[in-house]
Amino acid sequence: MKKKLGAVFLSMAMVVSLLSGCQKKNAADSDGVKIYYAAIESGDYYEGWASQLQEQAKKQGSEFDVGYAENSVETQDAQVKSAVSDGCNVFLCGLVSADIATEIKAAAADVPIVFINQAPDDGQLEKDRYVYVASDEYMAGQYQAEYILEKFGSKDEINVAILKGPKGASGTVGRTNGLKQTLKASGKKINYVFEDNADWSADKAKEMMDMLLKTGRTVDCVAANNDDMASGAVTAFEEAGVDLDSVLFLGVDASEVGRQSIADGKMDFTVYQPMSAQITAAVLAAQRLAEGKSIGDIEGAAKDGKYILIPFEKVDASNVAQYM
Amino acid sequence: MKKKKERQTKPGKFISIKTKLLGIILPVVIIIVTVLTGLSYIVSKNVMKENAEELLQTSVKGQVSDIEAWLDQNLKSFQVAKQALEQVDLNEKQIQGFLDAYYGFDSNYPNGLYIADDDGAFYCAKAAQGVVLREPNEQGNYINNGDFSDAGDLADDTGWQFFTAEGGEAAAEIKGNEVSITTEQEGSADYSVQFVQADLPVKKGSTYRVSFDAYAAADRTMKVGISAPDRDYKRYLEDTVVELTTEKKTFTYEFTMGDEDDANGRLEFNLGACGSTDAVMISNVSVLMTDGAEEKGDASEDLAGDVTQTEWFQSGLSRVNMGFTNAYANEKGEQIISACGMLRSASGKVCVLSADMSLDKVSVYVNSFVKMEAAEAFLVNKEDNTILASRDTSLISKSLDETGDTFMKAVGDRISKADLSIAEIDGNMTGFEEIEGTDWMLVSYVPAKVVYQDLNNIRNIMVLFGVVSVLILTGLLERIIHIVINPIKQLTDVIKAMTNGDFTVHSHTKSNDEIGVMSWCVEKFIDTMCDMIASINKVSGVLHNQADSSKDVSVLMFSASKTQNQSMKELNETVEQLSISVNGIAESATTLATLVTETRDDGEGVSSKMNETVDISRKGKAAMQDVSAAMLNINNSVKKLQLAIDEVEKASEEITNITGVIGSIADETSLLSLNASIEAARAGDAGKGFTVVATEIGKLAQTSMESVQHIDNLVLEIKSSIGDVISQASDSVVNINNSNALIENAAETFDIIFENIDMVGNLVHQMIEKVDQVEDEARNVAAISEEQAASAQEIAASSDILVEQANSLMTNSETVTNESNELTNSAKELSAQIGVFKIGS
Repeated sequence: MKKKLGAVFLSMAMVVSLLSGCQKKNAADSDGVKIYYAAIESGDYYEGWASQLQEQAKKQGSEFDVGYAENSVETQDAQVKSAVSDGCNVFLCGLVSADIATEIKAAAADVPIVFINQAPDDGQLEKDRYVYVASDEYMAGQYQAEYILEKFGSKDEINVAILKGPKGASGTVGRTNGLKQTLKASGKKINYVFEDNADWSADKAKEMMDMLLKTGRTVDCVAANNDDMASGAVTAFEEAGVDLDSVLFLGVDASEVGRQSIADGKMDFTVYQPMSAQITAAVLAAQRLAEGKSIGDIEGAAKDGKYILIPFEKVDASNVAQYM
Repeated sequence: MKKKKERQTKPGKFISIKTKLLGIILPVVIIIVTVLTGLSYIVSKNVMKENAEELLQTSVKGQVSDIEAWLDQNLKSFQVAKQALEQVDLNEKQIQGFLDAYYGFDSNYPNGLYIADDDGAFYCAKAAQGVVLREPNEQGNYINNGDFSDAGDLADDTGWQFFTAEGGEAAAEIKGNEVSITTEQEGSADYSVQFVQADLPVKKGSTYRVSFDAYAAADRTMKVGISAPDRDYKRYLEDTVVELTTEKKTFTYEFTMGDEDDANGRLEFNLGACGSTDAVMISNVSVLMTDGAEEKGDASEDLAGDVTQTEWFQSGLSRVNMGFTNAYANEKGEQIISACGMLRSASGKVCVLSADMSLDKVSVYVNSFVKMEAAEAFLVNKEDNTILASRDTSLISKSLDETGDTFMKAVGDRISKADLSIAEIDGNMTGFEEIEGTDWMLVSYVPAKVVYQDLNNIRNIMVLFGVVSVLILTGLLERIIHIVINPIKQLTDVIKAMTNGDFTVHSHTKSNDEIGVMSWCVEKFIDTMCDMIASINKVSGVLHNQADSSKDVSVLMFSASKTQNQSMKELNETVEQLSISVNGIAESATTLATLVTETRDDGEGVSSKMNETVDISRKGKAAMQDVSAAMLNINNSVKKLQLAIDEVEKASEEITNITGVIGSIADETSLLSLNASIEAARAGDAGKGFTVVATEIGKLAQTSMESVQHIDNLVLEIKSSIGDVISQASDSVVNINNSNALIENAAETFDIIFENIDMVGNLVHQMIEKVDQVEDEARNVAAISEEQAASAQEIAASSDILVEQANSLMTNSETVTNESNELTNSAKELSAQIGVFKIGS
């Protein structure tokens, strides 16, 4: 009997050691974390992301590779599949479309994914397996609203024009909701004298503001989902000869345009999207997932383990110089 | 048989193994089933709740995407139209044409598009400008030329018109303020001959009275009604048969317009196919509104009025791309939403392009997209919580707070707090989903009880399953236990029967388990017991028999000892009597000896007397010679004396006999005494013989006594005879004295006598000798008798001891009897007890 038990324990121990050995071997094979960044498209913006991510990965001692899907679902799918066969053990993925999350997850097989750039549906995320690292879009809108409320603290009625990004984009929805809900919560009467999708475009924003100005409606502030649209609005108001000081122009991103505009005293407010923080968080998260660990202790990690939301920073004339 | 004290004499309250097993297993089974069912229920509940939530979420998302798609599709078509308008600079007429082209183009916005600029200019499809109902004449009559004052009316397309069709041939003529219709062929349909007036305005909700005078050439019928040629000849006033007579009569009918306003009602008089061709005359036709519907104000005025202040225009100013307004009521009071946006116009004017979409339509979409059973949805503007669409149309454009419904209010609070997670609110599982590109939020809810209805079903099924499985398990267990226990039960019965002493039972169990072994052992035990009891029974039978026989023996012994005792007592008495008899004999013998002595003495006296007699006789012989004369007498006397002597002789003989007898008695007595002594020496059975001997002795003694008395008597007789002899001798003496002669004879005789007497004397001597012998014998007898008495007393003493022994023997034999009785009883008891055990034949 004792012999038998001993044999059982021995075989169990052997199985366990074998398994752990295998795991170690696998880890050794990949020589640590091997990250693949599936980017939406080539171009300055995402290439910038890629280089920063690579740098960060290097710092953390991980391998890094990148593929640009050029907005093609098929390409992205193929890139992910090939990366898996190349032995990549975690993805950083900017989805070409939020709708293909399932497909990409399937292509990635068992490899975990850190989504960036494009938010997948909440239902597609899974704790410590499929996570989304992004700036807190809602917070951007909220900061805008707080600024507006601060400036118009004495007013009971505020006429707001909103210039939104493309319909359905995560930035558009989050930032607009953040703005509107915060304004609504103030209890003031908020008149949305204009609200349309200018699709991140300064020109479209300018045209829309031109038309708005023709209606002769009173505008107290123009809150845009990004700095470009805000600057477009500034241009329109400028051209119409409206005193820019009488109207607040608010953007998001603290882009060069935005910062310059604030520095020039045209735009009033923007929020800084600390890209480096996102990159650091994304690469860290990738490493954790590759090692099968939790992202729970990373700053900005949500309780549900599906999100890491990087807070924005407020930028206005008082501190814009710091971001120049 | 001693019962062991430590053994329980009676089993406790009987509870069967089955009951115990079931009592233990059943609760466990029930608890397990209950727990399992409960767990399954809880798990199912959670799963179902999650599923329901997921389903609701999916449903809401689906609804939203459907609605979004629907909205997008419409917005896109508006956008296309808008772009078309923006790219081509159209003049006013072209714009009108463009707008007219969109009228009725899409059922979602049947009125098509319309445009307004900030100067208040408004362009829309002509057809959309609404139904214009003309006014009646001064009398309120909507019929033109109702009095037939215009005789030429029938010539043109306005006013009264006359038609024939479907084989009808007829003519009409207005003359003298009436129309007369003459028919040649009535045709095959009622409208074969038809007199009508079109363009009759009928307003929704208003009541009209139709009145006319009519008569015919002969009694006949016709039909009157108001129809809608634009609406597939629907009847506003149903076709009514009018009974015409030759006499002019006024006919009046009323109806209420239920349909939408219609400017083109048609009053019809149908004369075809009613079985008559007689001429009909009609006059004084009027249609009056008796009860007007509430006026809603002049729509066109509104439209023309301040178009820039309309909801859609104001909303349109806030965007360039087409987007939706909030829900609002249009000038007709209908709940609508408008898609609107600023039109980029070359003129530089601020223009708003808009299209109205009925909220009812949106509601239909909102509700028809509900994908869950019993789920409902409503569309809310999350900015101001206004309901945009709901199945309950009365709620549309009300704020959630205004509905007065706690659920709606709670939903409103949630939306205000932007807490849009799925939740159970006021008994409804509620999901929220924003509609992209709008401020709208779709709230979809399903009553939780509907969600949990399946759960309830599952619960019921589970409970049923639980109950059924418990029942089945119970049955199964009961059966199994029954089957398993049954041998034990049988065994129990067997053991019970055994306990009651019945060993005829058998425990047949084929099972090959412990019970089988038990059963086998019991069977063995029964066999062993049977054998044992049988042998005990046998032994007890034997014992019983032995006890019986011992009892019989002891009874016999008892009775024998009793008899012996009795005999001994009797013997004792006999011995006593014997002793007494022997004593008596001894006394008698002594007395006899005394008497004999006396007799001897007497005999000696007799002898001496004899001697004297001889002397006397000698002297008498001498005297006899003296007495010759008296001799004769003496002779006689002597004769007489001769007789007496004869008698004496006889007596002597008898005495001789007697002495002989006495001698033999003496012999026998001595013999008997010898025998008695021998018998006495023996114990027991000899008693009887002794008695006989004693009796014999008694008899002999008596005989001896009698003999002695005889002797005595004889002696007395002898004495008396002697006396007689003496007296006779005296007489003889006298006679001798008296007669000498006789004396001589007498002397002679006397001599003979003398001789005789001498002989007698001798005899007496002999007798005395004999008496002496008797005396000796008597003395001997007395001595023997005394010895006998002594022996008898010894015998008595011995027989007393014997009696005592016999008594103790009897007592002992009684004890033996009693004990053998007891033994018998014990044997019986044993037998009875053994009899309790049934061991079969």
